[in-house]
Amino acid sequence: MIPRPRAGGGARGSRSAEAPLLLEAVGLGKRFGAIEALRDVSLALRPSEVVALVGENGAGKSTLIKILAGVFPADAGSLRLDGEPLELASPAEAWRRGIAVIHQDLQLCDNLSIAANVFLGRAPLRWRALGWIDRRGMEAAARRALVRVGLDRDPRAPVATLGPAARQLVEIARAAAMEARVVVMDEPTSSLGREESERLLALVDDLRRGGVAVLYVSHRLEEVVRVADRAVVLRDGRVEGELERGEIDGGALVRLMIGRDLGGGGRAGGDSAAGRTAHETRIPPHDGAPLLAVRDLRVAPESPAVSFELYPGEILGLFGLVGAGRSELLETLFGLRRAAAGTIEVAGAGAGWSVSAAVAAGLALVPEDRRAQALVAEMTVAENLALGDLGRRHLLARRNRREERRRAVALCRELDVRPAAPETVVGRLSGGNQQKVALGKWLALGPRVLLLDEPTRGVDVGARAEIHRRLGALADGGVGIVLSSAETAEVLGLADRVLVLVRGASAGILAGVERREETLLRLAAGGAAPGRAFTPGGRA
Amino acid sequence: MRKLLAIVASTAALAAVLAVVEPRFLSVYNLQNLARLIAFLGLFALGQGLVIVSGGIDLSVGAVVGLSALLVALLAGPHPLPGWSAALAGGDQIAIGWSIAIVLALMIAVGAGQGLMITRLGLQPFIVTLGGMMTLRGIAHVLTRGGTAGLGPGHEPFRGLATGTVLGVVPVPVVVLLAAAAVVHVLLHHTVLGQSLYAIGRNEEAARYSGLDVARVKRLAYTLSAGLAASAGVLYAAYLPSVQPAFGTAFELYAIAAAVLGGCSLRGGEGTVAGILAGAALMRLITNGINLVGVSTHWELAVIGVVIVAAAVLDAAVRRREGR
Repeated sequence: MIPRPRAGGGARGSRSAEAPLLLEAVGLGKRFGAIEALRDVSLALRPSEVVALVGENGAGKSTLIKILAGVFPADAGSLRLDGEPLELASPAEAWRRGIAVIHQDLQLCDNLSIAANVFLGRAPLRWRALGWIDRRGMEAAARRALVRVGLDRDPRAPVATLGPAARQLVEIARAAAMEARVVVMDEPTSSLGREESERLLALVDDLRRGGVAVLYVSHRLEEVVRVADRAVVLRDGRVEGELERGEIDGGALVRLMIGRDLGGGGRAGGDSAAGRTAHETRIPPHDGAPLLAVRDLRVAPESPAVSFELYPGEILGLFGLVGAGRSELLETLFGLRRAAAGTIEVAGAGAGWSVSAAVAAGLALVPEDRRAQALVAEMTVAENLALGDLGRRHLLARRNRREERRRAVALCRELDVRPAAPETVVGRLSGGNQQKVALGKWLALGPRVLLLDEPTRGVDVGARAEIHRRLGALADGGVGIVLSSAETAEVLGLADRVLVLVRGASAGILAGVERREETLLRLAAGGAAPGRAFTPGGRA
Repeated sequence: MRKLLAIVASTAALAAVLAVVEPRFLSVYNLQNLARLIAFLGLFALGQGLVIVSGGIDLSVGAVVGLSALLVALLAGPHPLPGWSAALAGGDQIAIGWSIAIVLALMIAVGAGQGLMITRLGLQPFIVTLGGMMTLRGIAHVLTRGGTAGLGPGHEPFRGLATGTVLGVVPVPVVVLLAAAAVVHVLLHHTVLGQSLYAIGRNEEAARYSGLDVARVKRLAYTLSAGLAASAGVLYAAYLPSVQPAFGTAFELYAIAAAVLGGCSLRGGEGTVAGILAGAALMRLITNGINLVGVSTHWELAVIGVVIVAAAVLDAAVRRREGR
């Protein structure tokens, strides 16, 4: 057991006497239905301090950020600003109080100019009563803010003309223009290249010098090591530990994130491995022909080529950070996107670039966003379960409601959908049961290759175990499964081999004893070869 | 289902009130005339309904109705306009049957073309069909050079399509409407196409991810809409003594109103054939009532407008009561 530097729920740093606290969160708790997203989380930010917030997916980072941003209030605990109690009724109020939260999915208006975005909702007015915008004043102020963040663009240019890095800078300029005292950045580099990331980190240093408190949320541990004065590690909604500047290194962070000592092989704790125990140590049977063969596939002309094979009965994990290109790869395989280059073969036959061709070849995709992409929320369970079959039939073929119902009853029983009533409107089901329906839609067709994108995101523990059990059983029945997830526990618990994606490129395929949490996180976090990025521990 | 009951009930209630208040309402002449007008509106409202269920909108309906009626009159009529090439107009040379076939084929092609632009080029239905409406309307004006077109005397068998009756009482257009409604009903409620329309209207993204042929289904909706509007246009040609180039103006809005009154949601994915027919009936009943009771016909539009907004308010209130 490697000792934890500072375990437990307390977040009070050792330097509490050095500088007054700027923003303080005390004992925050938040529940979503049966899921406890945050429990007794405390966090303190001082002026001129960069605090990193790290944790695996589902550890509660987003929930904490949203509370700080005023998106929703905490169920328990309180916020303090300059020692005074702080109640945030809305995101606008958070901005007004000097707390700038830069969300991962940037919230800019494409059609407006950079200047208008920098001053969105609080444009300087000339005649207040008329609401006449002082355009020239706004543009001058925006220009000054852009200089501060190092973005050399005309503030009159529309945001639509900017790339992801420049957009990120516009958001930060927005924070700069409003003289924010606290800046929260959620995965600011997830869509940035290496040089752009460097620039952003330099900017964080600038903010620190200017007296701003920065809460830096990132999966990329090397960035955390580089920029943070302090790191707070969340795990399962609690503060697992806190590291001071000298203590922060990749190994220590990963240990706290995982919440245990790094023992042997790839066995992941918890429920995720349920039902798949039989496969834990098996060497995938790679004799015979692959079920799915992907060669030199380029999702876009400029993206790197990816090749891999999937064998019958195999579960191939697809691991990577948010924005690593996992969804794009799966969507390309399923014919939703046209590949720029490369071939896809299912059981030796080429698969075309359309969804119907992919379905005909035996592919099925359970997409990432089930409400937007997998299900028609207003339709019933039976109607949704029939959707996959609908696309295969002739348009003028007769719908057989009785048959649809009969199949739905069988699938509901098989997948333990609750309530097991085919007439229930899907939108009324819980996330876990919706996901079962999204899966059942394809199981009805008997697919040969099942592509799953974050199949248990936002799913409760029971449904998660049930889904995992089903996947194990399907693989045992000879179905090939590609399981994309940003959760190491899920990937390691289920997958025979793991393909790690970094910025769209394959960083390696791990099999057998190589499938270790630490190795996965290292590969995914930096794209660096194992052992390069973080020295302590000397593993890998 | 409850929406359908509400609309059928209000239609029946209005009819009952009219029957009590105004004895002339129940006269055979009035009822036949009313049924005929309901049939015309019902035909192109059905097509509009299909498009609305798919999540789109077809603004070209009125122009298709107008140009179809005009073209039949021009192609088969005896009075080609000055400068109109005799070979094309042809007077009696082109049989009425041929002109109907040509008009239907032409308009179906227009609908398919609009569908193609919407699906292939990813253009917005509103823009494509607005452009279609103006183009077709413009063509109507060019063809008549501001004048009117009429079939003139004769053509009794063709006129019978609009004015004739079956079994001595039922106007022929009603039979045409019922036949069309039966076909659309089967398509919408009993086939893969219909279920696909609902799925696409509710969540096009999920439909695409499920492997539905979204483009083809949407194209079919616009094609059927144009075909049904053209059929209504042909019946109007048989009904009207002469056709003006502006004929059919705003009909697309009546079709939308009928569909929405009948339970279609402009968000897509909602609506039934029975509801659309009831919506069309309610609209014509209001007009008929205004005429019979002796209120100035200038009130017609205002009354229909108030009814539509009231229905929307009621629907929203019921939804809110149910807790979303």
